[in-house]
Amino acid sequence: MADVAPVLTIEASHKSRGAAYYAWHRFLANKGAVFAGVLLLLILLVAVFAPFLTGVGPNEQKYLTSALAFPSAEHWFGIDDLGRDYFTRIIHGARVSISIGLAAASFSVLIGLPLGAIAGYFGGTIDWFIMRIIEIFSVVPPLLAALLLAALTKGGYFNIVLIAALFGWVQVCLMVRAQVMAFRNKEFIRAAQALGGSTWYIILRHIIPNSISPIIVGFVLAIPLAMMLEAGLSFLGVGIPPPTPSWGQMINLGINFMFFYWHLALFPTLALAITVLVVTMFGDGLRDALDPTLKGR
Amino acid sequence: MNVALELRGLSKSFYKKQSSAGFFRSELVEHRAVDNVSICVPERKIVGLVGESGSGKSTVGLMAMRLLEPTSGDIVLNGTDISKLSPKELKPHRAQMQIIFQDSYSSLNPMMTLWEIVAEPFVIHKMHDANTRRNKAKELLDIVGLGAAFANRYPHELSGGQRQRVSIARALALKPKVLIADEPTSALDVSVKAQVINLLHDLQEEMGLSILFISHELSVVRSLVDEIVVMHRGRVVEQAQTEQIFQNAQHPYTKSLLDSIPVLNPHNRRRRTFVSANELTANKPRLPKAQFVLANNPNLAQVEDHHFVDASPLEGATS
Repeated sequence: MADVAPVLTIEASHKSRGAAYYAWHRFLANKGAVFAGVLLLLILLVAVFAPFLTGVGPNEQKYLTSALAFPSAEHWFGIDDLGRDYFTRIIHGARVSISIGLAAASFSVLIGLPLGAIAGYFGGTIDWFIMRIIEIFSVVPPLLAALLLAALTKGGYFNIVLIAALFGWVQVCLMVRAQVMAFRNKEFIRAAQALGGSTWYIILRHIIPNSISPIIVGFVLAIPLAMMLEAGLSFLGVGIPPPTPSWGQMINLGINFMFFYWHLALFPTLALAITVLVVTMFGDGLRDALDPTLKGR
Repeated sequence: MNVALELRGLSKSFYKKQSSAGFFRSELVEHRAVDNVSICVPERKIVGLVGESGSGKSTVGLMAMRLLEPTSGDIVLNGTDISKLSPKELKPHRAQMQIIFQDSYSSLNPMMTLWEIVAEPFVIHKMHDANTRRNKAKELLDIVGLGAAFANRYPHELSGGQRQRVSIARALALKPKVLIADEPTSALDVSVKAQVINLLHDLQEEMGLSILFISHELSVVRSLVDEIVVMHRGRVVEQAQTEQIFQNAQHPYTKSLLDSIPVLNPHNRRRRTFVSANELTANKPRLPKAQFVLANNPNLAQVEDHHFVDASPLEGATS
């Protein structure tokens, strides 16, 4: 036994790697999630650059003479009943759908994160209270309640975002709460308390950075929920009012012509299904990559 | 002899709901995790707090740090009673007393680099600017035997012993007078254990620390501490200078703890005796009334100078 503690050294070649590095490598190993991520990126790019991709606007009735035309080399997804290029409308619908998904997911995190952190950190009565609120939200069928709310507020872009967030925060809240509860009794929290760190300091500096993975995953998984809700409401006629292109609305329109002009129903349905699937797969992959229980695998 | 940390009659009760009273009625059952424990840590001394799992020794440590509110009793740190202070009033006193935990992995935030962890005390106490904090953190890492090259590493890249050094560096950042070491070595390999013990010993001498060293291994404690307090079921059963305990243990529980230390000579191997709670009650030393001299704990009798032993009949000792 040495009297003086040996100074421990490490080789210079050793590269320091944070948790993000390992998460990224786990994500890359998941082929399905990478594929979904690439597809999602493509969809996002198309949505962002939609105005520049086709020569016409989504609401221009430029092709009235060839209304309801089937897909062709010129009009990839055909033309709808009012003479609008359907491909243009679909990619503009992506902007509506995805932006609503992102906005609603942001609001979900905005509500779910503080509530989850508070419930998990303080426990006791506050936790009981928040859990009962969550239970109220989980027993109400979201679409039915959203339908009622949308009808009362007359729908519209911003109202849909709020309604989707109202039902999306529950999942984020539960995920954050579970993570915070797992970390609350860790000794580094105790050490920070022993140093005199205030509750807010501990929540901001220790709890939330360690809850970053459930927050990201909760955010990504809230997107498809909001997109489905928007599509559902628009389909039922209380969502995004026409003429703004929305996939739900277009599916509704397509159903009227389904047996004669199949493309009007097929393309918006496909667009919605693929986007929701891709976001969900990407979110699942993220969750697996960020799950701390797999650390160092 | 100045006293650095004094715990006076510290008790902690936990309450559990029990529905045995009826279907809708439930009553609270009290469990005394710590019962009237008084410990005195003199300046520049190391006091060992020993006992089996569940004896309440860690609870005492947490209560001393005010990380757990005592049900009753006082905590006196450098002459100030800190047991009733509000978090705000307590903050300056926090710098005087720090704690290191058993689990070195969970005591470091996995998202922070080592220098950030060690610099955290300065952040919380709003000391120094960012650059000085980083340099001070590197110095501290150096003091505990980790080179400055470790500054940008993450906790998961270190071994258990290295992580425990980081915990020590963080605890010593504010130059505390009192350190509570809550089983800092029990999760470590034997060789690493010795290194950490030596490090604590060196730091204690250099910085003039007073340490309350909580452990379940008497063998670890022997070389390090000046005084030993033995706890069993939330009570102090024996309290004496280290060698008095090793030479002249009085309480059957202390004796069985001593008996559990492994022997080096294989010829001296023997079957370890395990004392049950009932045997403890039966074999408890019975001592004349005159020896019960402590006002704050009527159960402890003085058998020699600085040597106290629990000699009252144990109450409610079942199971």
